[in-house]
Amino acid sequence: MSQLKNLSVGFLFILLQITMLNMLAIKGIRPDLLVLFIVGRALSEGPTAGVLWGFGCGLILDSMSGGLFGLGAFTYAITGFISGQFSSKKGTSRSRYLLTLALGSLTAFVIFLYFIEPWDQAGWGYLFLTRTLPGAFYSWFFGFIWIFSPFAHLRAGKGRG
Amino acid sequence: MYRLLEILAGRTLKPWITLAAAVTLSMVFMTTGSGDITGIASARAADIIATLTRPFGIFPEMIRLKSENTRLRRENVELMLRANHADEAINENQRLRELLDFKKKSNLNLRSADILARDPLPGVNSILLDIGKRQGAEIHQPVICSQGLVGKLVQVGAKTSVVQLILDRNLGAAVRLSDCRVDGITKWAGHNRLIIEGIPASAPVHLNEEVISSGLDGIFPEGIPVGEVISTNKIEESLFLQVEIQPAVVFSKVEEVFLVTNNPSPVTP
Repeated sequence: MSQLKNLSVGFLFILLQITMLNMLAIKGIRPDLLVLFIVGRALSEGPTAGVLWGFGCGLILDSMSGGLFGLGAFTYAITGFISGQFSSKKGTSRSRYLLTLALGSLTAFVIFLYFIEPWDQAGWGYLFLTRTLPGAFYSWFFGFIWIFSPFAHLRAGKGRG
Repeated sequence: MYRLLEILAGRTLKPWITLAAAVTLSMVFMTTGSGDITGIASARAADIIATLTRPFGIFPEMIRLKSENTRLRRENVELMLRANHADEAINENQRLRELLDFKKKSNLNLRSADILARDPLPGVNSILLDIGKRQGAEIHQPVICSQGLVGKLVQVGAKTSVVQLILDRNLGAAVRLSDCRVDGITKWAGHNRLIIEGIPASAPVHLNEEVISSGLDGIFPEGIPVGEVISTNKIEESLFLQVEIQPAVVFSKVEEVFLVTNNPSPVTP
């Protein structure tokens, strides 16, 4: 898959994330679609590309968040790096993608918990159980749907090498 | 040198160096905040993204219009039934106002804006508006909707601006409990919860008491509904109450907001 195609897919994910995801919120919990994309790229191209994709996509979201500028870039860069550690030259199986996605989305949501959620008010454990875990699971669930959808080929390429 | 390091480490260092660079750069952004350069860059990026976002807004808009149409039809019938009662109430209101020599104080200049995008990052409560400097938006302008206080502008581009909601860790609004007339400051307590700090333990706060903006922060105009009290909690060994409020605005369903382009009761910071 050419990088231009990857860029288009990444941009599509960003646009979906900021326009339509609010409609899928359940009790304020929304999936993070960008994690799906970044994990896919990291598994396909390795940790270096994972960091770069995560950093770039995160910066774009940061420009619209009005919050802590750089937090998205920081979070997704780390997510991309960790996910990239599980990349393989042989390609990415569905199970590998789903396991890595679980780890990647949990990583992203834990970082967001630390930097954004008011854990000093509500407590770590409470927020982890009510916000972080459901958010990570909801994102993973979308990855699960995606991987069995006709668009699954956009997830990852043939593996790095 | 690089090769030597790689041999010593027994693995390729490229991902680690990339990660270190990305993390360092992110940290620099986070610690320096939205400085002039990053602020301008992010405002421009938001303008570009907003332009690309518009076609995507059609689908949720269609779904929203359908449900809104149904709702409006129902409301129309209800409003017709209420119209008679309202006429009566207006007359009574007019008479009482004259009696009390009441002067209408609502003199806010409002500018409407549509929401282009919202909550780009999980947990970050913000919205992107289709209004910017060209339409007269300025940083720190209050944003309200028909239900009450929404937040304030924290980033203004040429055609778009970002609103920091009152459901944000970094935004507190000066508020007043409408019945007991005690002032406090809101603080986000997670998800859709707000608490008010600084309320004396002796204050006669009661459940369902309306909370309005006090105007003392110099940002939000006085008298805008913020929420209502849903619980009070006396903190041990403290002179203050912790008052939890339910925000007046259902943030996930807000579609149109208004910028307050004049604040009639600003307090010099």
